[in-house]
Amino acid sequence: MKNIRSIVQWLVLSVCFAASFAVAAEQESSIVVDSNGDYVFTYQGYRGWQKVKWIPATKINPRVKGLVQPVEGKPDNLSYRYTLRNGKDSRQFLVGMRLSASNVRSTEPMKPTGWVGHVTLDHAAGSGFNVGWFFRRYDGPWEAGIKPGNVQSGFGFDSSDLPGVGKIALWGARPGGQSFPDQGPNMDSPVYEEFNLIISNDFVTRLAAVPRISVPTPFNAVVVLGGIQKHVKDDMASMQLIDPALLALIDRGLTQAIAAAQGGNTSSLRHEIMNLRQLLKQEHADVDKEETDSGDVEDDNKAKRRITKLAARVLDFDLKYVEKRVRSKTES
Amino acid sequence: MHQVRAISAVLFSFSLLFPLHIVSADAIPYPATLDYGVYDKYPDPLPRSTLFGFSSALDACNWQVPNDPTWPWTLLYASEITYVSPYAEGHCMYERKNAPWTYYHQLPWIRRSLCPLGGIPESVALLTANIPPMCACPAGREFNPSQPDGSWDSCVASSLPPAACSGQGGYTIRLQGPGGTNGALANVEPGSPVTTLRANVTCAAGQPASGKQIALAVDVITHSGGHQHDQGRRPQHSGTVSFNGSDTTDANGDVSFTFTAPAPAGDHTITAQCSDGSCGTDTGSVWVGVQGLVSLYETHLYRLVGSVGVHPSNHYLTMAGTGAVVQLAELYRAEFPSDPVLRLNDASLERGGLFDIYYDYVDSNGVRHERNADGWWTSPHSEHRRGTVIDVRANGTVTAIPQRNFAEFQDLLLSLGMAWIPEHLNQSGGHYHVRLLGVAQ
Repeated sequence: MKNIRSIVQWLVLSVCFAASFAVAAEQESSIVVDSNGDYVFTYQGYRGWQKVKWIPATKINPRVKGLVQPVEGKPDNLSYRYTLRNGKDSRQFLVGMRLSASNVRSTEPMKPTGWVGHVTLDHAAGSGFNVGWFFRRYDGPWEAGIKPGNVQSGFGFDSSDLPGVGKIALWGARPGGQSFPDQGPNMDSPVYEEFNLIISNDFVTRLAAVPRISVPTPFNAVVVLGGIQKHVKDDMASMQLIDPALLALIDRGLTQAIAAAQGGNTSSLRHEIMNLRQLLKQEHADVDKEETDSGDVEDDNKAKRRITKLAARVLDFDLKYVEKRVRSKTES
Repeated sequence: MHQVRAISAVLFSFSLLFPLHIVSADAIPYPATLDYGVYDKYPDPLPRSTLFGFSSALDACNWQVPNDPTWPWTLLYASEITYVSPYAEGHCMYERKNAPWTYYHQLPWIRRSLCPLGGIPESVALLTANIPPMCACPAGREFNPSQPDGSWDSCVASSLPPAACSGQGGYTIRLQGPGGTNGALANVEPGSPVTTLRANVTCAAGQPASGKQIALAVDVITHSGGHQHDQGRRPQHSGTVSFNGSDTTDANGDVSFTFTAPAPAGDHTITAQCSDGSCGTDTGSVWVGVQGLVSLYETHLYRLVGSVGVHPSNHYLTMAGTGAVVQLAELYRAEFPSDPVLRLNDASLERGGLFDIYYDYVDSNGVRHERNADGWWTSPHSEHRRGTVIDVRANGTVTAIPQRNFAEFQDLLLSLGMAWIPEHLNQSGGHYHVRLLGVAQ
């Protein structure tokens, strides 16, 4: 009898312990990624404890191929064209893309059939433009756009500004109706910051050539070279696209080119530009190819180059452009 | 006798022209000059600032028009003063020139009061008309009477003969700060401290009085900061004061202290006095809020909803936020021309800060607060504090975003660089909580 009683007591205690553990576990704020790649948020909101599944728009593995070319007959206009590839391993259709540009010369970008595109002021940055595209899903199924494994070209716009390397945001299709029963975690919740990071960055980024360096009218080599130098030192360096030793060499070369341009010494300026382009060619033999591909970052890492192919191509394009404008000015 | 009368009359006339020669500066305040400014041209590289130096709101709003042919806006109108207390502000409404769409743009104009150098605006009772506040010089100083044109352009050391403080009595206490909107001691953002406030005590001769222990008290002006629900006082949100060092005046007669603003915006008062009651009292205000917020105005692109008696002005945004939401509404309308335009609910209050809306709320310690029991101030609207977040109605009613548009609306938000939290969509109170600049604040 005593044994039975002690067994019952033990069972009751065990159940109580398990129950209390379950409650404690439930009331632990957490963010977990499940086997489908979906987030499970457990948090305390203003309506109490919640557990919410959130399907992100990041289940894609895209590549961006960019092509920058002068517009025929308009030396101060450049065309930017992009082709998107949704990787075979993507688990969502690719439905949207956005980039920031320092200048865009149209109110509406080029877009493939079925896509919506717009150019707006970049209010978050305080200057420049925001260019966005998304697949029109209103009339069809929500799961549409660029299928995994497929390629879509036809995105683009014209700009007066030279390319730099910038981030392009891309996102996949996910259902439109998912929502939270409240505002998400309370502002003093331990998962509030991480929750915001996930919610505010619900896209994947790839690097590509985007308008970044202002070209004044009339053309001024000193200003443009100064813009290129700033982009290399500030942006390319912070994105770790260039080795510090090579950065120092390029910076010095650009400083000398700027000095030559300031002094009106065209032959010296062209010589400096040629040296800089040679430096880039030593790193990537095909640096003067016009297309840029966001996928080359990984390739470069394997080859341990001192500058990524994308950054080298963008820089080479910019230097070639300056050289051409200086030459045409001299010849005219 | 006639000669004496004539001399007296001349002296009297002279005293009218240059009254400070014979009267203490503190006794005659000087009228401040009104100065209008406009928030800097947008878009422009940061940092932006307010450009002052205009004689009217219209002049300020028209600043760019004659000087900059590339300025892409046409001025539609300059509004009247928007605020009654305690600062003067309105807005300039522009329309974009040669735009392929209808696009409105607002800039705030601001009116401030200029005092002669070193002078302090003495009053904030200026706001219903163009009545300037009066300026005063700090204790021990007076307006400079020696300008050839008779203008008093600065405060100079008092011409009264100096006297020792001890035994004089007649102590005076004055609050001083770096200066703020319309005569406030300082401006500070909700939740932030201002550390450069001082209480200064002088004796009758205007000399600094050292060794005086100071007592400070804080309060908040009823219904300031956009909250029409604080029944007289805000005991939980009146801000706090703390001495930076000693609470006793130093050799300059000064005690330095810090005011820490609470989460809600408002006009907060600080009252200082000597602990022994010997120096009277002085009360100053601290302007708590986020600068540069402007109200949305209804257009054909969107409707404003959600204004309630306790928070009548619920659509304040920064200039960048305003531009972003107008573009969002424009593109949504272009994409879904047959559907109702966006219904824009709460953004921020007129000065930002805590936006208390919920009637019941569970805090992070699991404690439930109910407005009927706790009163106001306990239930926060998450974010909505700095004019960059707005709620867009999606509650299943006929005027809300229909469910079939949800996926594409989200794509539109992402394509504009915005982030959002969908809150109980298609249910009562359902909406998109949109971070217009992609940032939670």
